[in-house]
Amino acid sequence: MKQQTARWVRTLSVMVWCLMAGTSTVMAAEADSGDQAPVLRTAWPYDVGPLNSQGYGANQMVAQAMVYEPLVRYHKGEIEPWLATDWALSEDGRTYTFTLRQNVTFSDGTPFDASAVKANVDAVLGCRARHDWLALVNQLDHVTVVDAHTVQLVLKHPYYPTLMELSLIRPLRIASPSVLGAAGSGTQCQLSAPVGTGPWVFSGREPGRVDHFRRNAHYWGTMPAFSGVDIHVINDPNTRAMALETGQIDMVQGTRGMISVDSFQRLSHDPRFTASRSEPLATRTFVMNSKRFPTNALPVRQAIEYAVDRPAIVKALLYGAEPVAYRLFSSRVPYADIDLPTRTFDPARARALLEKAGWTSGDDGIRVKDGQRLTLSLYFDGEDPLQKSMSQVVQANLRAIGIEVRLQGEEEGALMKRQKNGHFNMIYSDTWGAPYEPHAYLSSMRVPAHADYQAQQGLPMKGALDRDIGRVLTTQNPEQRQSLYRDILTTLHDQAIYLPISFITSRSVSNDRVSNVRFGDTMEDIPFADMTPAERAPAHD
Amino acid sequence: MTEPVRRFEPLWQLALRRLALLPILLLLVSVIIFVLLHVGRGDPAMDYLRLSGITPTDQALMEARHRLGLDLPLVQQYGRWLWGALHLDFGTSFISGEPVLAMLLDYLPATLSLVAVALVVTAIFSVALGLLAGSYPDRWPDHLVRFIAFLGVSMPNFWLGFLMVLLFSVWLEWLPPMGYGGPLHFVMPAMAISLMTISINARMLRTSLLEARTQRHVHYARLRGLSSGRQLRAHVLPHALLPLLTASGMAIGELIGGAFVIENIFAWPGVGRLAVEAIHNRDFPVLQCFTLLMTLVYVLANLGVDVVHAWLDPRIRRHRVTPSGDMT
Repeated sequence: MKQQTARWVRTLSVMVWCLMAGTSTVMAAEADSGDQAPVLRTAWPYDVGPLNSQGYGANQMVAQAMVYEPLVRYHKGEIEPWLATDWALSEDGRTYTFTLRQNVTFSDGTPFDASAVKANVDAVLGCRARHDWLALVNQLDHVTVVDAHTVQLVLKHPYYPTLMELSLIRPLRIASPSVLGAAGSGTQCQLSAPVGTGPWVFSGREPGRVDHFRRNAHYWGTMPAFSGVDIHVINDPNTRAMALETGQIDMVQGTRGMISVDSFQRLSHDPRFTASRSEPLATRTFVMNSKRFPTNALPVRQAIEYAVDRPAIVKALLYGAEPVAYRLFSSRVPYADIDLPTRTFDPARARALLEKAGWTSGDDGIRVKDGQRLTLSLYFDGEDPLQKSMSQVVQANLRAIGIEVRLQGEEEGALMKRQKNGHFNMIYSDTWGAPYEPHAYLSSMRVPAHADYQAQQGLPMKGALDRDIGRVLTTQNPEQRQSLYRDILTTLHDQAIYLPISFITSRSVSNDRVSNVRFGDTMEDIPFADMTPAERAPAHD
Repeated sequence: MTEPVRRFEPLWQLALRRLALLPILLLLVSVIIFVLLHVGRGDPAMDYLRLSGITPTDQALMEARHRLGLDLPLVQQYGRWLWGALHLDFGTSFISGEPVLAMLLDYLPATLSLVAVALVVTAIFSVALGLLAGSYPDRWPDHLVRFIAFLGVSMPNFWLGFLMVLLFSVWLEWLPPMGYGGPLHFVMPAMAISLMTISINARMLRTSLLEARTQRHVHYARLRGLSSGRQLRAHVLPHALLPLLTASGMAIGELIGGAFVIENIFAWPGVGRLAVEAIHNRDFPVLQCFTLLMTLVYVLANLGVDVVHAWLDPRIRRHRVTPSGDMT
């Protein structure tokens, strides 16, 4: 009996030891940095990925933005100097000459200079097929080193959004040339290690659990106040909220499902937390297909715009957390601050429009014209509860004016396919947000892979619209550009191709260890470097 | 005609016979999963572009398909995969570009340790609750166990998970709400995935205990004046526990399945969460390797259970041997 007990004790101690071994690894990783300032703990649904400055797929943009920096930065709708302190554009609009910031080094000690910029741009051009979704990559002809701190980017044709696209998180941010794959080696599209000039340095990963970043000791700009950022991998939005409530993490920030509307609402009333919302970053909208019956008729599309009670949707489903949208782009978007008529909720006007167009009420309340019922299909991401609820409200609103809506939730991949082939009357689609708006978003309207392109196919002026979009991207005259944008956006608005619902904002909830919480200028970056530890917060051990 | 000789098959022979079938089983599973993945709707190249935020133009799709090797004929794709698999190269993830075997092996220990702890928890609680119910049939302990079992089989594990987090982490602040680390991290996820199995097993043990008590050898033991404790240990339990052991083999599958959901709730860095992500992103190489790995784990675990079963109950490895020595 004694022997048996001893065996049990042995087995149990081995088990406990195994479990403790796991714990001590974590503690060792945390205690490793030796920096006394606290670590900011946040959460993200996935591992941050390989952190390739030019990588897609598993590379999370939020982390790429922490490590790599652009030549110029997009801030509040304007382009600002960043790794380049100045730039000049040649007369023909094809050559950009950048003066580079001096005394900047990569986190591995490699100096940042013109040859580093050239190596990065050449690497992107070497893998052009992978990056040709970005118009600038197609426009780039070559890059020339003028001197150690001057570099020239030469384009094939003038392209005014060049600076905007240089500011994107990928693929044109600058990694240390020491980690770029050699051209023609088969590894030219890969990085051997994540090394950039940014405020944070990747310092280790516990797969599926947490990614560690520490501040870059050689950072050229303002040194971050936190000694590091731990990004915990928490896939479920409710678990993220729980982790916040129980003090496992200090903050969560992001758009869409990063923090659910319900959790945000609940935590914003909790005195332990600070909840805030960003300025509008993009637009939630339904796209209406002008080529397919019955949304091919303008009166039907306009009636839909008048029939949907957008303020009610925002109030009920988003707790009023986002501004109601009556236009495709918020007036904060560059060139989009123009006068457009607002189609507010007016079911009587919607009914009148349909009556005038010959749609009369049928036996079951659904309108009929020439023997055809006013029935349309609406597609959304079936896994997104918010999209589903919004679609249901639209369905109910349209039913009230005699339009029958068939709802169909699909998975994201299938939805993208549908956007590409145009098999829809209405489909949910977010716009891309800054800094893609308006230029890149409008540019995509000329590409058959987009819902916008398909939806505009029935417009009599589609050819002229596409020509105008082509012109606006190449014109060097700001007044002409503004005028072209006004024409394009007014046409799209008059033709009621979009049913915008609200402007997407980023949401942030943080505890009392963090102060100075800021939002990024785009949906993809979180400015951890601007955040500071709250004074009374104890150092995180 | 000579009477057949009864002989027991040695344990190692039983194990070896089953292991020999394993490669064939894995091959079959790999073909089935490959076909199922590729005949299904959806296009992994489209998902790759979606996750990358790249417009799915025809050209971008073609480029992505070419890069992921999806433009080859299906047979060639499978052949390529099989050749790699035979050399322990299961390909790279469509999304992250990392070798899938290394990726899965990184995440597997977390799942296996969770399932192992859940299995121990299941065993302890099943027996305890089953004994309690079986010892006091139709009295309050039995009713209590029935109530727990009723809750356990009716409540989805993710719901139980959230309720436990609310109670033990948010209100009482006793247990960490998520993550992987010390022993305390195991408590809630292990309970959440094992409660259903515990409920079923406890009810099963109660039934088999009551049944075993009616057996004649137990009756004689009672007549021989053995104490009720001794009766239970020596005659009732060994008999009643056998069905539970068989059920444990099945339970491993249930627990692994439960871990899929629970890993998401508790931010557990296991293969379940990885697989759910891979399903969502149509990351075929990850799914293919994951299925094989799970088949392997499941088969080996069941083999283990069968060997233990055969060791405890020699009747199941009894073969009739003909005079020529051939087993039938």
